[in-house]
Formats: sequence, structure tokens, C-alpha cells
Amino acid sequence: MRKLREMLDKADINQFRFWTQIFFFALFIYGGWWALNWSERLPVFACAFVQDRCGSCYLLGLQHQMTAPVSRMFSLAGLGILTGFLTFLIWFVLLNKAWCGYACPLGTLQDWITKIRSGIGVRRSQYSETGFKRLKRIKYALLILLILIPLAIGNTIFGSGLSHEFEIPFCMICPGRTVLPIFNADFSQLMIDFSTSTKMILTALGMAVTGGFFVGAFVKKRFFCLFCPMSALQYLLSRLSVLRLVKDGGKCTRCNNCVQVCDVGIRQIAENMEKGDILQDDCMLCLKCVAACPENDCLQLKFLNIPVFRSTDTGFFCRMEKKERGI
Amino acid sequence: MASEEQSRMAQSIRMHLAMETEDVLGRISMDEAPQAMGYFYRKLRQFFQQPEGLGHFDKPGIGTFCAQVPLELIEAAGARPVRLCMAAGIWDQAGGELLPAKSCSVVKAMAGMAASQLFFSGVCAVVAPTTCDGKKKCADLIETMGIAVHRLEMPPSKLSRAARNYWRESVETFMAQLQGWTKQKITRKSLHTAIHRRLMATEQFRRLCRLQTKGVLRAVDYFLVTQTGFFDDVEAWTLALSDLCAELEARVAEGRGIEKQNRPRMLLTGSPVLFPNIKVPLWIEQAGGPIVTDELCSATDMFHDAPAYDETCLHDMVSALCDRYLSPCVCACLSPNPDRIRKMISLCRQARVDGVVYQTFSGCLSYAMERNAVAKALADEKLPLLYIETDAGFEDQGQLSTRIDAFIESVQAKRRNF
Repeated sequence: MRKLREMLDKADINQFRFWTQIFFFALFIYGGWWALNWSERLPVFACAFVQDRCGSCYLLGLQHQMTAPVSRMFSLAGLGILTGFLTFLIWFVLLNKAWCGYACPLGTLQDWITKIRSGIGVRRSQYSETGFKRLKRIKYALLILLILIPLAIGNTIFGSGLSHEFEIPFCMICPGRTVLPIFNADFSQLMIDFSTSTKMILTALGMAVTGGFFVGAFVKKRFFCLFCPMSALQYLLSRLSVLRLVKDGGKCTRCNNCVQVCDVGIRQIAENMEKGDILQDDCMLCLKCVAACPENDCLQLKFLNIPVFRSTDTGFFCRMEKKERGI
Repeated sequence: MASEEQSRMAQSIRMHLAMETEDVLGRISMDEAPQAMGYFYRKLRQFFQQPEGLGHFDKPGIGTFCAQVPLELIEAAGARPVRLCMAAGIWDQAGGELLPAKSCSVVKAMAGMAASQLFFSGVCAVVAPTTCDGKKKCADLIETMGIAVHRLEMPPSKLSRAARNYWRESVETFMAQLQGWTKQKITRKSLHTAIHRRLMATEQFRRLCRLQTKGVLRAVDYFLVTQTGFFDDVEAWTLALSDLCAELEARVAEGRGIEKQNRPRMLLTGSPVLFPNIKVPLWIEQAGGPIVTDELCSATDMFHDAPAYDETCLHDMVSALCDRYLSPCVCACLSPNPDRIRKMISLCRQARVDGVVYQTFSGCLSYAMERNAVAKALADEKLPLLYIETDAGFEDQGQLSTRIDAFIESVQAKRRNF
């Protein structure tokens, strides 16, 4: 048991994450080859437009369900919405936001782009602290819109129902739809649909976002995640999860290592000195902060209140030494 | 004529300094000193008794004030940092003629050190972070003596965004200045190596601190180790430190030194312990209270923290260094300074401290002013505090050691009653 503890303390979390991400990427993009089908309510961007996927993103289903008239939602048919949400919740509760950091194929793709960037020696750009705070709100707006717009289809909000072409508004602009099928050699989503003006606008927007996705991911780490409505939905539910990131402020020396290594530059983790849960809405539980913290037990990842990975003095120096050998 | 007088003065200061060093080292009993401590005694003797030895560094020396100068940058630029905060009584006296009598003895000693020009043959420039008023004016004074001084501008606070940006810019200016001095560029590789060396030193220092909490190393020895770290080559220091730790760990394994475990455990805080002025730890130790941990800018505050970065590019490494030297800083010159109390309480809990000794040099106002807040926070933790105001030199031995004896006895009595 002590051996296992020691091994976990010294774990090279980045390497572990790298391979886990590859595993999930392969699963979500090529899982269909092995006739796998996990669930249609996954809390990640396992895009439904990918032919050989093994599961799909909950947001797609959610948008579909929202197109029903409100009266129907409160009938027995509402049970479908409820079970859908509960399935999503069960998946989510298991891994919390680690779904973003370890499983999301779109996130993985961004991390690979980051690897290319740092590999060719281009330095990252960072958000200004005020700009970051302002941009954070966009994902909540998107989450509200992706529920409200489909609602306007089955219900007469604007006098008459909205066109069915707005059925999955977020998917239309999500880079997951355009980019991920490419890995199945399917380029059909990379186009602007001129059949109707609504489709044209939505697909054109989608193409623009796709362009932004690539440029953004090259310049900043996890650029798209800042706007991700899935991340917003997850954060709203994160208190329910059995996986928690906990900080003991009393042990913190405010060395700021955690902020230094954070891909999205969350300052709260260094500045919050209260004891307790410190998961933030942009956090993806990549655990780099825990690995970079040199104070024993200051940061901990707890599963059902059992520390799975914790910050340790020995682990920190062990990892830094490895880094030195790496250059 | 003036120069002749100056050189005579320098000669006399040099002699006095050698005597003072010998006197202080002589007060440390060698009976239970670990063998590996020999390295540190030797280095200190060499440094204080043959100051011209500084000129024999293989690299240009760069003098630093305080604990906020990013030493890794100096090393990456191919120079060797020498922290000039030292508090010899003879320098204090010499500096008394240059600065008001009410200024603190560290500042006076540093002015006196500069006036006697002992170390400055080997130090090509001085970096002074703008910490307290005393240090700032001391830097001004040194500059008038014809020594190149770079002021590493420090924000008065560390918590705001403005402070972080200001500090970052200040460190970048310092980098440019450094490269100008040494004519050597700080590269990704050289900085990475420099950071790594300091990391290894930090790792060993933390190992020593763990042993210190077990009470197996005398406080005086501990402070001699940290003081040697002010000027020694970092790799040599790390090596000697790891030898010392290995020897002490062997002692722990044999069960030696453990019998002192139930003596009252002390934390020392306030103005720094700076060689040769190690009288307070010496007397605390002699009174029977091991110092198990400290919150001093000459020891833990200087060596405890280590930077981390995700990508090994120059920009991110410099950014990590900026944070490492400002953010965990708990110097009393910062306002607000909530981290100092938080850190002290955390140390007290971790090291199971029984009492706190708070020393300030007369004239060190910021530390004296923080005393009440600290005392209140410690009272909430039910920890007694002894406040000492002192100077360089052993003149107040009678009075101070009596107070320390009484304090430790009372802590001991309290422990027995529990």
C-alpha cells in the first residue's frame, strides 16, 4: 500500500494524461470499428457527426429534446428528457471535469496543436486577467442559447415557431462537427450549405468558428474550452461529483507554481486560501497544478474523499528532475 | 592622504572582522558538531577572514541585497551571486559614522562593509531590491562610493495585478542590466540549468529542514549552513548540504540526538539572523530550547521555495522566477502582509512548536511594527512569544540571555503542567 502511495505521489501526470487522451480519442473517433457504443449522453464532445464513434455528446440530444413543446415536456415524454439528463449526470459525476482534461477529443486536439507550437519554439500567449474574466461569461450565454433557441421551435415565442433548421444551433457552430469527422476521412462537414439562407448563415458561422478554433489553439492553450457550453454545464453540476480538487490553504506558501503551469491561467487556485473545494469553471482537472505544488498535501484530488493524487515535496522534485533530463 | 587613511581603516576593520569571526565560531562548541559541518565552518572562515578571496571566484561576483533577487538569472548570465546581508559588529560601528544611529544594524553594517571596501574588489556590481527604507538608502550610499548599483524595483504589495506586472517589468530590466554587466546572454538553456541547480539546492535544504524539525541539528549550525549559501557556489553548497543531511539521517537512525526531543521547541522569526551575529540562536540553544523551524529571510524564506513552469521557453521560466521571488515573500516591508502570519502558524503546527522568539534589530521598524499582529495571532494559537530587540555585537548578552532563559523555562514549565 505504501509502495502504491509512493508511486502515485511521484507519478508523471503529464505522461499519464498524454496516453489517456490518445486512448479516449481513439475510442471516440474509431470506437465504432469494434462495435462499441457507450452512451448517447456523454459529457464530452464525442461528436455525433463522426461515423465510427462509440458514443455521443449530450448537448446534441439536449438540443433535440428541447425542440418539443413545453406541454409535452411535462407529460410522460418528459421522462425521456429526465432519463437523458440523469444518464449524463451519472457519467459526469464519476470523473467531474476530468472529462475535459482527459477525454474530450476536441480538447485533446487542442493539446496536440499546443505540442506542435511549443515544439517549434513559439511561445504561448496569455490572457490579460480582466479579459479572461470577461470572456469566461460567453460559455454561459451559449449554454442558455442552446436551450432557448430549440425551445423556440416547438413553442411559439416569436409569434410563430422558429424554423426546424435551428434544431441544433450549437452543433452547427461547434468545431467538433467540422473537425472531428476529418479523422474518419469524412470532409463533408467542411462546407457552407447554400440550400437555404438559415443553413448558409449557420454553416458559414461554423466554418468561421473552425478557423478560429485552429488559430486560437495555436496561439493559446485550450482556447476553445473557454467558450465551451459543456464546460459551463459541467461546472454548474460539479459540486455533485465524487471527484474533487481540494486545497488546504494553510499549507499554501503562495508560490504561484499552480498558476504558472495552468493551461488556462486560473488565478483562484493560488489566491484562495480557504480550505476546501477549489474547482473553477475553466478548470479541466488536468492536475498539472497538483504536480507542480511542492507543499505536502496542499492540493489533493479526491475520489469519494480518498486522496488519489496529492501534491508532495518528493514528487515535485522527482518530476522537475525528469524535466531537466528531458531538455 | 585620504586613501592612505582609508587603507589603514580597511586594514583595521579587516583584522577586527577576522577576530570577530573567530570569536563567534569559538563560542560554538565543537563536541557534537557533525563532521560534515566542517565544510561550512571552513567556508565561513575563508570568506570573512580572507575577503580578497572573493576576487578569486571563477566568475564575476554580483552582490545582492535581501532575498528577492532572482539568483538564477545572475547564475544564468554567467556570474556568481553574493548576498551582502551580513551583520558584523565592526562593520556596524564603521557604518555608524555614515548613517544615523537609529538605523538598523544590518543596514549600518552593510554601509560599513562598503566603506571598508573589503568585498568589493571581487564584486562588480550590486543589485538592491527596493525593500525597506533602510536598504534603499543604504544602496544610495553605496552608489556614492563608486560602486555600480542596480535597483530592482519592488512593488509595495504583491497581491494586485498591477504589482505583478510592475515586478515582471522590473525583473526584465534587471535581466537586461545583468547581460550588460557580464556580456553574456541569458539563454533558454543557461537559465534552465541555473534553475535546475537551485532546485537541487532547495531539495537538499528542505531535507535539512525536516531534520531540523526532529531537533538533531543545532540552530547555530543550521544558520551557518544558510549563511554559507549566501555566497557559496550553489553546486558545492548542495553537495555539502546533502553530506550533512546524510550524516544527520544516520544519527537519527542510530537514535542519537533524539533524547532532546522533549525540550521546548522554538520558532525564530523577525529580523534575519546574519553571520557573525548569531547570538540569539546561540543563546536560545544554550538555554535548552532547540529552534526547530524559522520564519526568517536569511533561512527558510530564502531557500524554501522552488519555481515550476510547464513549457521550457525563456518567457515562461522568467515568469516562474518572478513569481517565485515575489509571491511567497513575507518580508515586513510588504503591505498588506497576511502571508507572514499564515506561514508562521502553518510552520508552528507542522513543527509542533511550543514557543516563538521574535527578534528585531533596533531600527528595523517594519518588523517591530508587525509584532502586535503576530503576537495576537499566536495568542489565538495559544503560543507564547518572546520579543527581543537587539543589535550586532555581544554587549547585551547578560540581559538578553537571562530573558531567553526565563522564557524557555516558562515554556518548559507550561509543557510539564499539561
